[in-house]
Amino acid sequence: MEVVVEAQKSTRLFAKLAALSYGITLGSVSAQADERLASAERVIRAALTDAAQGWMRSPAIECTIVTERTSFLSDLDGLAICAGQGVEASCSDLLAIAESGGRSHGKTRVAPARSDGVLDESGAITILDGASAAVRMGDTIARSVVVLLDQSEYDEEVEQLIQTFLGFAVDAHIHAPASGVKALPASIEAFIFGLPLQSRSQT
Amino acid sequence: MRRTEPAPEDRDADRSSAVPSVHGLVSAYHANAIACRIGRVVIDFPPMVEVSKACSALFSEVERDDSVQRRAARDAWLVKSSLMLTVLPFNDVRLGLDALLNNLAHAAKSVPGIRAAVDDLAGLVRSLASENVNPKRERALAMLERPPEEGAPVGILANICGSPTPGWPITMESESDLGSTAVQLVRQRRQTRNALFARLIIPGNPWFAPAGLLFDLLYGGRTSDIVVLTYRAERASLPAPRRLPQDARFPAPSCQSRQLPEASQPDEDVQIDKWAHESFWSSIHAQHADVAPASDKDVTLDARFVLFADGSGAFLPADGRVVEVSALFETGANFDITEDKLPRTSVRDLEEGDLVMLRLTGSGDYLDDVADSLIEKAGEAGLRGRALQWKDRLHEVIKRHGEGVVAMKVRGLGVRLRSPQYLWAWAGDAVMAPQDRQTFHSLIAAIWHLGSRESGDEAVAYADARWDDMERLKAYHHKAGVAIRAALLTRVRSLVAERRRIDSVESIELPGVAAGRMGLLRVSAVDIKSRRVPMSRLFHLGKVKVT
Repeated sequence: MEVVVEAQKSTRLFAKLAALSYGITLGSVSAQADERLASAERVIRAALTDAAQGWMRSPAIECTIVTERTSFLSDLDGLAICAGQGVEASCSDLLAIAESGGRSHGKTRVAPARSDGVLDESGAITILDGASAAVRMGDTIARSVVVLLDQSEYDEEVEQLIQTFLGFAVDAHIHAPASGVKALPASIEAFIFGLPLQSRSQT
Repeated sequence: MRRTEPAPEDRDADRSSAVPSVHGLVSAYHANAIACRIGRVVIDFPPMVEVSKACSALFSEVERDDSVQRRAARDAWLVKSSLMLTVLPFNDVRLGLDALLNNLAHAAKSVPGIRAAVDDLAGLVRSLASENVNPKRERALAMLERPPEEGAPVGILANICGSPTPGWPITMESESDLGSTAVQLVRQRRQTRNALFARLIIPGNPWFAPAGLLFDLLYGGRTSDIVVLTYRAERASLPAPRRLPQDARFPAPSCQSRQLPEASQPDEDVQIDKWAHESFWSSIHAQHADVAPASDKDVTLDARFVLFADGSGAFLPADGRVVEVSALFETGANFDITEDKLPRTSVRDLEEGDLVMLRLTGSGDYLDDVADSLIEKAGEAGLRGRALQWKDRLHEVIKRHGEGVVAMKVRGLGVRLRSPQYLWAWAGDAVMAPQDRQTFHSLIAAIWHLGSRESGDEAVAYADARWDDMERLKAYHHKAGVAIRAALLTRVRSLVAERRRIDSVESIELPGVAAGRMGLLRVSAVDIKSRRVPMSRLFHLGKVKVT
């Protein structure tokens, strides 16, 4: 859908769902909505040299965040991401959060860990936040899964679950940079393992 | 990443709330986690060694299979732990030392072997109470006299045992008992959420403290300065976090040991502490030894026993959630009256002081009972039995052929079934029905085939009829849910509005909902270990005798 940006006398391309979510009516976008989009796009371009134009307005969810944190959205209020001097955008705009059912436009979907069945029906990456999300690791279909745990959440149950998955681990699909991964900030630990696709449903 | 700064006038208005931003908190936690240092202050106080010896002598004489002697051992442990852990004056009546010594003296009359040890212990306690010098109190107060410069309070871990901590009565308050408002007694994990401490004092061995609370404080960056304050006679060690598996890409973390040097105390004392902690819950579990399934369909689940302040207790599903409203009662003004649901929390996260909503009378199936009452009023008596009659057939087929054969048959009909064991969930009360009509059709077809019933057409008609019945049953459940929620919200809202103080239990009558009584119960302690319990026993409140 081609939309007129009145303030700049230019046009932008939107997926239909995205146009509705950004409050676009009668084929034109408000100056405020346009500024939000433009700021987010500037940050993405500054941070990623190969970012596609209009990526944020493109259809399809690309990341699912599974969390029990009920304050997740309110925690983002007032939080901005800076990618250089004067290049900043609000965190919520950058995450472009779709409603939980995925029926509104967005690149990120926030879902509760207690929902039944598969947690992420689409998307390339799924972030499992907390122990109750981590134990649903077998219910994800994303190609990349990131599990975030604090020290108290990495308990015996989660450890056992990870050990079960490690029994199937293969290195084939892990593509680390040739120069090695960046050093982790102090107090943070991480490890990575790969799984053949079918092994998730076996565990 | 940065937090948008408020305008100057907003900042001034904000100062009263003093709630740090999420970004500010996370940054502070990270900095603290890196810089955190744990020190130990050891107090030489020979009388405490004598107390420990007297207790050890008593423990060596008692036969713990005998209930009287077991009680005596626990009372002796309470005396020792109260003295060692407390920062109150030794003659503070809230420690309950006189009552414990009276119990011991009474027990010594029937167990002559412990008489000498009881006399020794009583003499030591009286001597300590009369001299009224508590070195741990003095050291703690000295640390509070020179508080660190940051504005954050000093935290003192007052929940060292998980169950009620000896020497730290619930009535203790920082201002009246420690003479400082800049101190926070930390008993609950919720106190550590969004919290920062200038320093944390741990006044004893925290090995048995609730793991979530302790890990937040030790490794969650709540402070950068932790002091473990113990007598030389106290063993103190800190649980280390579990290590992640290693891979070839990320470097191994620097192994910064958090273990404190062991105190010179015999291993026997460690075993006694362990026994004392476990005996609290094992005595409660012994009162529920008869938790057998009510029927073959009564599946067992992991459950945790929750003890309430009114002396009752119940098993709650370890993976479940319950309505928990303590925050509403503490901050009544924040209760949005347009909110159409009550806050829930995971049973695993429940802790002392939480306010949980449970049914006080009748079975735990509150929703079912209210739905049944609506069904009867609508003249559809028998709907539930009719709708769920296929579960008996599934159960019969599973028992005859085994879940593996049934699962293979169901999968052969195109149903995605993660585990054959899940068939038991369909056969029991945990799940009303498969998620869609097609899956249900396949399930009934499999039952029909394995049950040697002839006609496939009959199976289709049966499945359609039962599915329609279940849809109507679900509609009644929905109506019941709406009725219960509306009545509960109205009642809880009025209780919150009047800021009702609930120390143990508050009964909630629901007008128009006649299927039993609900109540708000204050949590006293939660067993950290799960136990397999039949579903029919969950949520059933019963009186508990705590020794």
